[in-house]
Amino acid sequence: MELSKTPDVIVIGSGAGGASVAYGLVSQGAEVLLLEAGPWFEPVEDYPQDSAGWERRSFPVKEGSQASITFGDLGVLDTADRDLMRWSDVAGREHPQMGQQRLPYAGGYSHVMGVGGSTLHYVGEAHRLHPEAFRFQTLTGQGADWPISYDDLEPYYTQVEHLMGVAGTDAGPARWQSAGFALPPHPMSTGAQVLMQSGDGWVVNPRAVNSEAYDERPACNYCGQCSRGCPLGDKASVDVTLLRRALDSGRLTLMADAHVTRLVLGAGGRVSHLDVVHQGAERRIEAPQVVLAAGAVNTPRLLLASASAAQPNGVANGSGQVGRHFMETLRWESAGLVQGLRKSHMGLPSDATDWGFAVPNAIEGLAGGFKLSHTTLDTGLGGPIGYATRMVPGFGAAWKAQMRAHFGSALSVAAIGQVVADERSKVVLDAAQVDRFGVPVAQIHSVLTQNSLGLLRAMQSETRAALAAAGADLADETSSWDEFIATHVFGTARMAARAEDGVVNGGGQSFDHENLWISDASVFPTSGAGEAPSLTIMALGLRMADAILG
Amino acid sequence: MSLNRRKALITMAAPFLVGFDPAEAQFAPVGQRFLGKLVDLILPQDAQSPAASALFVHVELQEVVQSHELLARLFEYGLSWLDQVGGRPFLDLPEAVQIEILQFASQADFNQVPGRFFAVLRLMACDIYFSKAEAIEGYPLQVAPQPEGYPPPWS
Ligand SMILES: Cc1cc2nc3c(=O)[nH]c(=O)nc-3n(C[C@H](O)[C@H](O)[C@H](O)COP(=O)(O)OP(=O)(O)OC[C@H]3O[C@@H](n4cnc5c(N)ncnc54)[C@H](O)[C@@H]3O)c2cc1C
Ligand code: SF4
Repeated sequence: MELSKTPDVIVIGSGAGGASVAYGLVSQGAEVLLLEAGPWFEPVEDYPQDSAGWERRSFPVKEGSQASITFGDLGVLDTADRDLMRWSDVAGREHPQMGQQRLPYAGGYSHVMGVGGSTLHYVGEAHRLHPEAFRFQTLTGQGADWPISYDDLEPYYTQVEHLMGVAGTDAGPARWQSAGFALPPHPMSTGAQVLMQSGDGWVVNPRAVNSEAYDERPACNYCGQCSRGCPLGDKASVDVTLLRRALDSGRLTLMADAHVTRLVLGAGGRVSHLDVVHQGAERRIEAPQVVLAAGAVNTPRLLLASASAAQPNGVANGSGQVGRHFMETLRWESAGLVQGLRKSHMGLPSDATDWGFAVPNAIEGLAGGFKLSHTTLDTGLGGPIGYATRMVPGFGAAWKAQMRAHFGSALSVAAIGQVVADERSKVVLDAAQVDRFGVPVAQIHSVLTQNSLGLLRAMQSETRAALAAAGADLADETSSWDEFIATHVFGTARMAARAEDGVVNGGGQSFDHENLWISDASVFPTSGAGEAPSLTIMALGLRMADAILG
Repeated sequence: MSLNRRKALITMAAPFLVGFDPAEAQFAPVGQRFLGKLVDLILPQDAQSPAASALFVHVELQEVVQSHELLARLFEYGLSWLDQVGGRPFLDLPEAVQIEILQFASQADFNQVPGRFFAVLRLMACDIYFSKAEAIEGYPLQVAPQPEGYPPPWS
């Protein structure tokens, strides 16, 4: 593909961060070239939820849609912490890995490489961070402060909520809004209703899913399968929202299967060129302004892999901070069966939330907090395979009858918590493995700290309490204690007020190279207390577009 | 079966086989008749849905098992154990005894052959069985969530 226009800005990666900055730029008249390593996904063809066997099909894997990533130190499953071990009525309470290394979740690094990035299989929870989250270090003495405040980001939060069609009532405690959400809230599933009746804290969870037709996209029909990919397009992944609009403008050129393999520096410390392999052909593209938006694992990888004699530690790494402060997903989930609950497999995933602990100092003696969500549908309890393999033990005729009797009565609550970055947790280049283009692959090291273990125990206690209040008999618990999870990852090219503390400034601009910007989850100095990150990533992207255009 | 589900199964099978070298293994084919009996004990016919073997669950199961050495070896061990534990071949035992043996395996240590084999067998059989439209007859479910979805009201 030859470029017919000279772009003003090149964006690398088309996920939440890349799509938002690209949209912000083209909507103000700039010409943008977007280079995406992964393929296009066609919702109707690629997310077939309309035939038998749907429960066995997770988000599709296409050629080039999974990053090659290796894992280093993920910590050891210490017997002393076995109270945090996963168990279920079906699988029992044995753990084959006890005393050995924690393993990654079977899907490995679960982010999608494709046009739309990980928003293709995200659930679409749309959260603003708590205003105090931006002052985490000041309030807790740990982690870092953000160089920007909630007030700086608020207008952009509002803009994204309207671009994506966020549905809900309000953004949650302390998260003031200059305008209401674009859409009214969704109806609550029966599981959410049980939680709301049983505890004061449960409220409507803001969701980037159409509760009515909006933005040329239909209303949700509550199939409950968002993370398998939404075939209707009512879930606001960025391919059907920001990128569609940006392409409609005629000012966005989007190249899929375009792998940026190196940032090349020129005179004056500017990024002068990008080395790209597009559909198998190597090319070097001149760089005007460059926005790196490859996600919290591949962004540090590309910066580190672009090392040269002049920059032996990699690009944008004058501070030595690239790859450090990696924050994984701290998660605890409890599920059970509630007598009398019916049809809990119908509705919108993550429709209700409890913000009660989602502040930086929610738990005495610990730094950070967590957020609870109703997750019956997100976690595979929408079909009989989920029940058979997690909730209803046994076999034979009597067990089949039990399966029918219980189906529709599962209830699950999950907590996602803060991770305070630790020296041992980082993304580095794997010294022994390169990808098909000869670039070293990223290696993730991530270890649970005492603070994380303390938070996991608090999360365990609260999810159990929520289920007990709802009358559930506990049947299954899983957590990131025994399985490394990477749904929300952050921190490896963090923003900071001073060049020595971070990789980019509060606007996302590199301290070292004035035409290099970073727009993805890697710039988060802290993870937040379990809020889903995409809305913040996108608000930062829109804000960056304004900064680039001056 | 999706790649991720397959990886999860292999991860389950693997720790039990530490030290096992697939290159040296001789794989006896895992018999379809034996598997057919096992899946029917787990998922027998009832008033609303057929037995697992009527939906060819054992055939699909055999295909998956034989496509991966670690799973094949786990099944080989598991089936040998079943053939020994009752004093004569499992298929020759009365059904009540067969059920008793499976009950024992279902409670057994996950880190030993009987427990691990039964857990993996049951998981795979359920995974295949409940993916068939006939198996969910009588459940408050459509064959697939789309295109209708589940519009409210729900209560
Ligand atoms: C199962 C799941 C559920 C989730 N649910 C939610 C939710 O409900 N709400 C929420 O807010 N968040 C959710 N998330 C998290 C959310 O999807 C991510 O945090 C977000 O998409 C990250 O955005 P990003 O821009 O940092 O990276 P990504 O969205 O991962 O995008 C990075 C893009 O860069 C591309 N890329 C990488 N390297 C190169 C290269 N060298 N050259 C060119 N392109 C490259 C990749 O292919 C990818 O498309 C979920 C995630 C998962 C996995
Ligand atoms: S529940 Fe709604 S948003 Fe989710 S996949 Fe189904 S139709 Fe799409």
